[in-house]
Amino acid sequence: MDKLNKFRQEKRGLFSGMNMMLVLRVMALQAIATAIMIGVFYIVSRFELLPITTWSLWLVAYCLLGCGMVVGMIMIAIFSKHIMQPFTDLNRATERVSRGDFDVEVKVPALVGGELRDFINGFNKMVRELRSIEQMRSEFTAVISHEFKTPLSSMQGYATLLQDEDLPLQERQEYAQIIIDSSRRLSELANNILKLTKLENQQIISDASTFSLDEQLRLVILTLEPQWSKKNIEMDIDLVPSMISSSEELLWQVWSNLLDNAIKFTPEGGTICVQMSRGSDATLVCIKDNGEGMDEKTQEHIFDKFYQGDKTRASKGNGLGLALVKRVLDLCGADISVKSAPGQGAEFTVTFPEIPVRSN
Amino acid sequence: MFKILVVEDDERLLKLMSAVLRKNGYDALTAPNGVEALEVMDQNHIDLIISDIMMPKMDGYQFTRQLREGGYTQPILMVTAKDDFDAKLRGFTAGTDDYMVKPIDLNEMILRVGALLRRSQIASEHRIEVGDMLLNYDSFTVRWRGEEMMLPKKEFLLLYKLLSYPGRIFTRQQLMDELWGFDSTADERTVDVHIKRLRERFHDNNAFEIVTVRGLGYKAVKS
Repeated sequence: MDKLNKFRQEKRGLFSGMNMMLVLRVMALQAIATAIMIGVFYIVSRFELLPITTWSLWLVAYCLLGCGMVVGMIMIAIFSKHIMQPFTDLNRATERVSRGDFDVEVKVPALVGGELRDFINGFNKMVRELRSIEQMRSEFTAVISHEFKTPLSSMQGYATLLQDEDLPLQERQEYAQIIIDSSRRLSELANNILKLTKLENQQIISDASTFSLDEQLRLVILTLEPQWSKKNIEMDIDLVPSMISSSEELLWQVWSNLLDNAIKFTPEGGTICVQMSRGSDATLVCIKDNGEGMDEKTQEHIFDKFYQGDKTRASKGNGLGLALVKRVLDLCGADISVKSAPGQGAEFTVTFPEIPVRSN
Repeated sequence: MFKILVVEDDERLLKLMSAVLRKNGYDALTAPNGVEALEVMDQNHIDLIISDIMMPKMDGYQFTRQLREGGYTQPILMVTAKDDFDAKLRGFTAGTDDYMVKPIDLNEMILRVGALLRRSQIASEHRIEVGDMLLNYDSFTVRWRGEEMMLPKKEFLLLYKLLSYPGRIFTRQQLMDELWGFDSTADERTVDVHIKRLRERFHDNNAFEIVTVRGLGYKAVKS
């Protein structure tokens, strides 16, 4: 900002760039005015229209001319800088933005109005947007870098411990398992980031097809069977036949993430309830677990990237799963909400607006 | 001893996978790409292939397709770093039987190899043994306690399918698609009816049981 102010106070050469255009225009006007004046005086003196001698006429003429030129020059000197200022400012600002410096703002001078004013305001708004995007990006990068470093340093640490020849077998197994789990987490994180980035650059669903929503839910549940049967979780399933027109692949991700979470946070022997219902204007899918639940603060931020309510949850997920789910559902035009209380499990409800589907 | 061919361009991973296979009683052969893998197969009878997708000279899809077109019917397990739907679809369309994503859980790999080999044996032998029961795919017959019973086609196929994957749950839709075809006008209740008939037929058979998993489908459980 200081640089810009300093620049404004500099004197701009009279014959540079746009100044030159202005100067030329004013000079052209002056030339025409002069020619007209000369013409008028010539006619007046020639045809003796006024009781004035030729001499005095020419004197008056030259005086007027002189004054005119001086006034013209003064006007250029004063106003050109004022009028040209926004363009010079914009030039400078644009140059800075293109170099990655988003900390600029162009002031709209007093006498400028209309399209130029709108343009400058628009420019400033654009730079503000860029600034906030840049901020989000660097925050994201910082968090991701941390999310990667944590399991990596854990792996390094335990691997070093494993080099100890006298390590008892049980510890050896334990440390090896920790390394395996950490690497699995890392791989999942990398995948999720890729998916999320891809989704964020997408505005529409390009691979929509019509398929059975209830069957998809069943298949996802079956795919996760090893996990829920290992924990002896009872799956209480109540679905209605329902066709939907959307991206099969993306919705698969949604159910997969939601159910995976439900399984993670449901205790041994617990119950997960998957229920689907159809209203006149919406189809609802509800996934409910009877796990530890979450408090209000967590509920508010649960769909944010990397948000993990408390430290216990942090060890189980990577914070991107629900952000992914939210993004996909936004793209599909669906809505998701969560209802929960500490110790009372969590209920996620996905609402699809009823879209007329052509049935065979 | 089963011969398993591992096709993978990462040398370290190749060594690792072969070592684990050998530890589990399999004979492991290796190749760093599709072209050399085909050469190995010219010289050896391979029971199962584990193949990477991203490889130089010939990628996993091409390799699989060539094998299938050449008449190779043994199982192929694809291994890849790409966890996307598209890749899976391409893989299954090319003719692979199963799919694993890197980094692989080696224990899981052994389990899948085992399951695939068993299935392939069933598929190639066209017989299943369940306790003291024997199902014969070619004749749609079930031999049990000295008696041989021939079942109606759909009933037999349904039973055979369920018993080929003991403990695995199938949805009604899945069973229908496989037994009646995708364009069939039969509905899911038809599956229920056939299950009921099978239960009635084998109600005093304690070698297995068809279990209803509420909301999901059915599974056969060996007693």
